Amino acid sequence: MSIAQVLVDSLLRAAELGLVALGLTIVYSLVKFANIAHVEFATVGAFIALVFAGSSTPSIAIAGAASAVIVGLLAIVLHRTFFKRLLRSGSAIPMIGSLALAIVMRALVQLSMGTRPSSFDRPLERAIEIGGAFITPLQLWLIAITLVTIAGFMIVLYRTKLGRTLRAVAANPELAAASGINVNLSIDLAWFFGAGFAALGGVLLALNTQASIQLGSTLLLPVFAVVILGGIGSPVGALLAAILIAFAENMILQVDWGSLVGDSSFYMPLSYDVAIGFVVLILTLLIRPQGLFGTAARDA
Amino acid sequence: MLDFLLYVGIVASIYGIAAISLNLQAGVGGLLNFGQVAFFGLGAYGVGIASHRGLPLWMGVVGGIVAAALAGAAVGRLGRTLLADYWAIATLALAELLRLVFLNEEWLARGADGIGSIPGLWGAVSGTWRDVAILATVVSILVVVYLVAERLTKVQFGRVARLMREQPNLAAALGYDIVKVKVRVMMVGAAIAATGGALLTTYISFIGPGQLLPVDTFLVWAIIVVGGMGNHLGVIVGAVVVNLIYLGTRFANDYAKLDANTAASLRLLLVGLILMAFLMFRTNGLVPERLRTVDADGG
Amino acid sequence: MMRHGKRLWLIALVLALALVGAGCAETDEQSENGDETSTEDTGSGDTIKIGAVLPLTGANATIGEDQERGVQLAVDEINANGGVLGKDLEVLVEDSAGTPEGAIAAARKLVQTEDVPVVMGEYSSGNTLPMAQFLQREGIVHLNVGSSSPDLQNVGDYSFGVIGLDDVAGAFTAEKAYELGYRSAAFLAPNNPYGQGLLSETKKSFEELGGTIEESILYTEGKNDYRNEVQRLAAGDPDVLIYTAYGTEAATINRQAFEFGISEQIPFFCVYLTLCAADSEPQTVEEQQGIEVNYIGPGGEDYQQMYEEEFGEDFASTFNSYLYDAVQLSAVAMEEAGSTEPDAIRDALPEVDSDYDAVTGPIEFDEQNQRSEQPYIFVEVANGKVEEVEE
Repeated sequence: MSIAQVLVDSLLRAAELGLVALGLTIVYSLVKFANIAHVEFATVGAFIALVFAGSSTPSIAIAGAASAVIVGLLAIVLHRTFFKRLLRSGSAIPMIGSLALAIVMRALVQLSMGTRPSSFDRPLERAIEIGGAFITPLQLWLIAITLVTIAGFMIVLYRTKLGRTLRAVAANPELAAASGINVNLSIDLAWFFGAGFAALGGVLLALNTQASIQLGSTLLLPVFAVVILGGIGSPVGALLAAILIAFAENMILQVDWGSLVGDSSFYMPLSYDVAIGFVVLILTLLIRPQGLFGTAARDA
Repeated sequence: MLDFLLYVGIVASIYGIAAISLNLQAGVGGLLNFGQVAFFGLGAYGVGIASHRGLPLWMGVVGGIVAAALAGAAVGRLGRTLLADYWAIATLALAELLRLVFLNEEWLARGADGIGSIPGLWGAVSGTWRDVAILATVVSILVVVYLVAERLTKVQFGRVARLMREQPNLAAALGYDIVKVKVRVMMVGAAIAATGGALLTTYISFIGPGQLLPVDTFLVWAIIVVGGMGNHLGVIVGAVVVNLIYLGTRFANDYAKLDANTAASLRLLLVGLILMAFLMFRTNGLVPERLRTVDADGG
Repeated sequence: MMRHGKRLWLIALVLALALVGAGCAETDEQSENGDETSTEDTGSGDTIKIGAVLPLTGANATIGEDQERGVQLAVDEINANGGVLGKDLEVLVEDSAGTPEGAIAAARKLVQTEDVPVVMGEYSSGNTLPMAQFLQREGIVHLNVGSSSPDLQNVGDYSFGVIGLDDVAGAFTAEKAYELGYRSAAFLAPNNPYGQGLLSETKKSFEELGGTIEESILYTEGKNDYRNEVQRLAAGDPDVLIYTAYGTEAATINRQAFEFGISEQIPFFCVYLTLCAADSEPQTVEEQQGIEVNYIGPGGEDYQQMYEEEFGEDFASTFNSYLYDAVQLSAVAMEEAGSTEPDAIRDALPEVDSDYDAVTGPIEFDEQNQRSEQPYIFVEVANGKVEEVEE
């Protein structure tokens, strides 16, 4: 496989993880607990869009955007009714709660949509060749939309009042409240954006492959790997980490390690692709838990 | 019907054992272990691998327990400087990694196919009486595990673990090596979980990587929260309750004429919602932890 | 207080150890069968019940649903003609959820709460094998209706197969591929007993003929994306890609092969083509060739018509007819034995196999209770349907 293809595949995989990871890093930095149900926003988002989308591109785009908004609002409701209450007991109880919520969300999706994966009604495409690498037009869109969204959010985060507010609450909620910031509203907004981005990511992923009930859960650990490697609360960290991890996954799989292992030809079994993300996650936690751009992780 | 009730009894008891193990780690020790299924699985696979290689049953059980205890120690050391929820995610990742290894490494335990035809306990007895004998065995092991856990919790082991849970800085200040405590708690919990796993395999005579999925960790968490974190009797109650719901919904089809998909989703939905409800309204569970109160003035 | 606790401890520990010790005392591979737990005579209720474990949810749900159709047609037909032993026949269908644990649990429920003497199923060899082993231990008759792993020959005397196993399918595939002029092949199948068995059988036959299988991949089931697998196999530039994959996974494989132009460069050849094509978009499998079980024998045209009238469409898969045959055979065996006892049915089945005019062609059990003759046909996808290739 050519190096160009490896790069293209890595960009694509990074885009698959990027939006969902962006969403998680935003919420995590404000509510300070690991939400295992976050990836299920992607699953739910994908299915909601599927239900409303037709076969034309505009209808799919509108369905996708609408789905992101719906899921964002859903997240606010979930926070106000469920997580807010649990947060009173520390950060462990909400995490357990998120495990339960993830199961509930998945069960509800299965109840309404069955176990068989569904596809968007979109026409088949052919891959185009760019510099020796093959990629379909849809996949190019996937990458473009992800990059634009991350860039857009970074602008909001660092150049608008809203962004400053969010960062302030993430850094020090008590101080922020004391200086007159409406912390609750900020947290609601963080949930809205976080879940909305996750839903959008889910829609794009489902467009590229298919919508299945495992869509979210297969992303869980890779997305956490990206967020932790990048540093919680850093969109640029999430982007960079996504690219690094995606690249690692692809490189390790495509390279012939024969010479190292003493074999004539040895390729890493493809089924270990996700394992690479897990190993990165564990190594990051051991060596530098704050990740690339995060603030120092407090000791246990 | 009796046979099915025996089945429910056996499975509930095995979950009870797994629940007590998690209860020691999470309920008493405050360790957020989201990878419990890995320790359980090591015990289960120990038996399977022994059977596959023609080794006696007890070797598999002991092997599984030792492997789990070592894994528990390793995971405990990992928590050296990690925040609780980071450590929790790490345990989740490690459990998944273990499942992938068992799934892909054919030489280890036949990979995706799993190992079947495992001779279980009481092979000489047949039919219903075999299940009765197995139930008796599992229940008596459950009782032993309960007594062990109760004892450990009452003596210094448990007191230090609880202190680590509530006031880790105070514990460190008092001179306790937090890492050592974590390692010990994890090891004991892992060994107990592996025992449960070994028992399950000897009962259903099959082990495959599909039994190492995170949903089992979720069920055990639901059991300890519903039952009562920190109270071992409570989690046994929780095991019975959750299993009745989970296994009982298999009968929902028959009465409500639900289709297969609805019944399958309903099962998990119910347990999930109940867990959410308990976390919101009754974090102590059905049978709350009994803490000794000390009268500061008197004795 | 302490002493009580200690004593309780000791008693419980000794008891537990004693029980475990006694339990380990005699462990044998296949424990005694034919126990007396199911002592029902000719059914205590007013229906005769047998069981089926099918993948109604999961990756093979399309096939599972179709299998259920075959059951339904058989039950309707039997009851319209007087039922079995004077009573109506009822087939209780349980969902395996497409996993081995689910299949075992479903079989356990059927055996322990419904006391069925026969359980049919499942579909994937990885699920059928453990379930068959369970049923063998319980002394319940098992009928394999959809799996093809050669391991199924060794389960035991209670397990029967009405569908051909992969030793024959693999050989037929290899012959056909060689005939078509292919000499080097790549191979893709799921990572489970079915895929592994098919790979080794096909490889053995193909290499005997003079071909080679350079690269093979057993893919992990349940993934959303198989581009890496397909690309890795294509990289070796084989003459043909022989593959088999479950419904939704095949759909993904075919779509991605189409998108990346791989199916243009390398012909795909599917083992059990209706399986590969079941959920795939028609454009991605048009003109694809492969093999199939000859699902309609000389006695089968009426059945085909019955199916089309009842369900308003052609066969959704090839597997419904095997369930039909399995149910019918069970009924015939019960009539012959005059009983619904598993042992009696087990003994009657080899006697009556040729009495029943199976829709999938003549069924005769060999010494290992497997279908001795399984004809296969060479098929291709034409205009969105799987059809036999005229030669």
